[in-house]
Amino acid sequence: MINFQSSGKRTLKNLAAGKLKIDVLDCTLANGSVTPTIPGINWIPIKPATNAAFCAALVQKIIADKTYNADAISFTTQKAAVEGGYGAYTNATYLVIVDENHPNYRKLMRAADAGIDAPEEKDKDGKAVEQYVVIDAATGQPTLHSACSKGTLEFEGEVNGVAVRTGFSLLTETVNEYTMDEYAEITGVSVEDLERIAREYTSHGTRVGICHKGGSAASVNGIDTVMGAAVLHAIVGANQMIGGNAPNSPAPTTTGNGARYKLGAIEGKPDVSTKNACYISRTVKAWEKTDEYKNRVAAGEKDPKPLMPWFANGAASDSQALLSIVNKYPYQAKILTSFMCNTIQATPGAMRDEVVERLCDPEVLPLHIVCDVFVGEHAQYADYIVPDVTPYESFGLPTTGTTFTGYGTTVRWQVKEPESMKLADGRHASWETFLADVAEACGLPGWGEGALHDVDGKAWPLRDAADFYLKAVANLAYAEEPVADIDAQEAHLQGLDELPDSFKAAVSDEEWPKVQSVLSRGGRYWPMSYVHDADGRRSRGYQDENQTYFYSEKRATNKNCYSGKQLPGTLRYNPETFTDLSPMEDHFSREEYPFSASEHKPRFRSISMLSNSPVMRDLCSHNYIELNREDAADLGIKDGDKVCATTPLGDVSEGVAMVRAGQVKGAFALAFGYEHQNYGAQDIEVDGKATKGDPAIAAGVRIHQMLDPTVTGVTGDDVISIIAENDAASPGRCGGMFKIEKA
Amino acid sequence: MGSMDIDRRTFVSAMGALGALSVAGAALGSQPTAAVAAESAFPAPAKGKPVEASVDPKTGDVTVNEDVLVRYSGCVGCYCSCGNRVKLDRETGSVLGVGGNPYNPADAYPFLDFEAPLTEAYQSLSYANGKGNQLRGTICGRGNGTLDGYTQPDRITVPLKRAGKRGEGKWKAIGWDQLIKEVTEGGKLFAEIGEDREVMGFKELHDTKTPMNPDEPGLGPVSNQLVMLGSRSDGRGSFSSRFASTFGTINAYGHSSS
Repeated sequence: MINFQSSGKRTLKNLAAGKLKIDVLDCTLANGSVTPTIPGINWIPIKPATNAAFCAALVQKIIADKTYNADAISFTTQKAAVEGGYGAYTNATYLVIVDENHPNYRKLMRAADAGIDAPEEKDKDGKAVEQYVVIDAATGQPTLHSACSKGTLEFEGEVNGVAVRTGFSLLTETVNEYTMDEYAEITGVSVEDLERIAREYTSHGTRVGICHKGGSAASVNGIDTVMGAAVLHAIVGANQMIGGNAPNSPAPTTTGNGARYKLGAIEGKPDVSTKNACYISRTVKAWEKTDEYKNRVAAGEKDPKPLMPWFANGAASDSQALLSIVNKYPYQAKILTSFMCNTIQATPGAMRDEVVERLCDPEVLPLHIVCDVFVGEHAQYADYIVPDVTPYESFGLPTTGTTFTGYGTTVRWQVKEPESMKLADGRHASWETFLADVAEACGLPGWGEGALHDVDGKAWPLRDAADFYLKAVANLAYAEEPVADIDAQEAHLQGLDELPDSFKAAVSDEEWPKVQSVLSRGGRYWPMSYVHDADGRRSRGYQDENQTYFYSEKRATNKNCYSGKQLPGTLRYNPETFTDLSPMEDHFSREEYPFSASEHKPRFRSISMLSNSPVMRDLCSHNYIELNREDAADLGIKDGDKVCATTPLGDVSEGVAMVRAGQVKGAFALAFGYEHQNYGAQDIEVDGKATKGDPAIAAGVRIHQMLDPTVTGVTGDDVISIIAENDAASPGRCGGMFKIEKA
Repeated sequence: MGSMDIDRRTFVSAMGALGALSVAGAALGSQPTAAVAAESAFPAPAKGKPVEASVDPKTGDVTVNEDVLVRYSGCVGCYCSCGNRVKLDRETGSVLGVGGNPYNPADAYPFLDFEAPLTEAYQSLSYANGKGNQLRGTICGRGNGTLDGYTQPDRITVPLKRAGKRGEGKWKAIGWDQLIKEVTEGGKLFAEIGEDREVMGFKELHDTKTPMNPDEPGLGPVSNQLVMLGSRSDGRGSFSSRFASTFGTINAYGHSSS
């Protein structure tokens, strides 16, 4: 998550001084980041779900003009890059097997494929180090990537009788699958702008960057946005360079094994991991590797298909987990817990009657426990609600959002006594207290008496949040150089000398004044000079491995579990597809459904929160369906009209039109977090006392995305599945197909 | 403003009075009152929330109002992870207001050095020493609205148990011990509302050895059927992931993919 205040404050001064230029590629001109009063910053409207096309267009132009940094992308190891004055390397020169009949087709060439003897090298975890093959730039001969410092970027030929090409050569091909005119048509960004940005981007050495965040990849083809930005950073050598793409938010270890407490170590932890268990979200495992697949093949089934998609390259996915739960596939969730989230509303297309009905069915989900401060979207469908603490009453050590390159960590702590019930032993009800008590009742290792250990081996109890997080604060206080003890006068000013006894008891007497010192600042940040070095690299950790994949073997070898299709391993614009990788436009007419959608951060709500705040509702009672002026004129829609955006499957998002110039043509947008069903919008009754729901909390509109028609009701009669990213497993939030009409 | 023909000299002295009056977020709101007060030589009316300190605009001297505690912490108005400053009534412990944290680069830039004394933090919120609006931390509307959201009267403070069909919106308050006992022991938890179903509690589900499905042992043990959703950059995920790993489930999900 980007930190907007930090990035805004840091960029504004340089923009005003004419030392910085920013192009903001966004479907919607939102929230005032681009204003006529600030020079050097432009808004370039772009259509949703086309960011990869934008990146590919830039890369095409950069390769055509040879304005890339050939040095930086040719280094074959981190060591070579560091010696060459950079902080990162790529696999652009690594050879890829392109012989369709080779058993390792689409994989990177290994030493054995090339018939080269490789030294047996093991990494620090004892895993064998892979030896890839490159064409040594110095000799023109095939060699191991670790045996030379630079590889040849452009090579297409045979090594050891095997047809191979470099990742760079494959990239050149995939970014040239569309012409600049076609990229302009796809993205809505003019050829002139695409070429201007490509030139500008390659005119400042390594002091350029692309700041792209989750939303830019929140579409069914989103992974190529991520890959595009990665390639663009690497192609000019900007990774780990000051003014370029320095890593975000480096911080000392606090909640893990830190300077004072080993909070990550748990004795007697059960052996359950991705090695012997599957995520219910069907991620981190290829369909062909599942027991189900093997059993069905053994039973004689040819090419069996799963009920719901598996995502070999996807990480743990909460949206897919939710859909798995309502489908009871690949297994049933017996107990579901949640806190600080609203997965059902945040998963596009999931908050619908069919899903809610199943969540309410104890045969589908036997026990549902939700920890919340209000009866939110999840709590409404719970069996038990555990009272939670608010951010003023809870602990947490979050690092600053991305785009911050300094060193340190914020400490959020219990600045006021929680208003949740006080238990007999003085603790307050909260998510942490609940987990600690359930853990003790179940006899789980790592909880209760003697659960935590300091660096000297002394054991400490774990019964609530303070026990854990204040030790994490001690880790922060002692990181690098220990901080000074708190000044008595300052402790008095903030009332830190009157904190609960349990706080002081959570750490040693020696540590407590240093912990107080960190609490008094709400965290600990080192001066910026701590991370910057003189030669333009990030001084802390630039020697550490930082490799960019020009060619992703994992992507290239990921076989779609329904169609068997594979996407290229290099950056390419892939039009939006359904789960089986068939293009959406093969199923439905773009002429009939010409609009796509995007959501943006609201000013007057927060994610799925704050519709319950009267102040926020006074400022803005509902959001809008934001439409471009020309589109609205074509549709005969006026500002303030009630309009419907409807998918080919009949899902309707209904709201009030805001007709504006600050919206890209061909797409509509809305601020996220509106149209709640619960969270105070619903009637509730506690101990017989009824409270009427407030319809103002439900005001506004959210995007009702379509379900995936290639899976829903297809792979099984009652299967419900969302549109999602083939590799990342993330849901298709932006994009899709809609027609817009007056309601 | 009460007087539009205020001359420059009077205005400057009014601003001086303002600087001395308030260094906090309430400053703008109290500006007309202060200006009027200075011109008419009446004291500023005592209304609104107390300010935490005054800063002499000329010398930068800080006079702290000891009735008000200023604690620096972190905001969860959204997931940007800004720092914040929470003003509390020393006597009651209630929150008077929230603002930015000048020590935190997420909401102040440049930011105060960790070792800078708290007096500098107070000064950073005033115009004294030329530091105003440079080092002052800020918090956005969401961060302020969060305080409003969390102080609504329908806040849940005790455990609630379903007293009707799931989703029907009927609840009854129960004690903490009953909550822990029921969810860990399981049983016919909803017999009193006519549900005969046996519910598996945490204890029975905590079987880290037996495969949940003998035909598909790769799905994991019985304990992997606990699914936990929640947390993102609020920094509270450590507890959930610790619980999940000690319980024997890999199904702990942050809000990363919804």
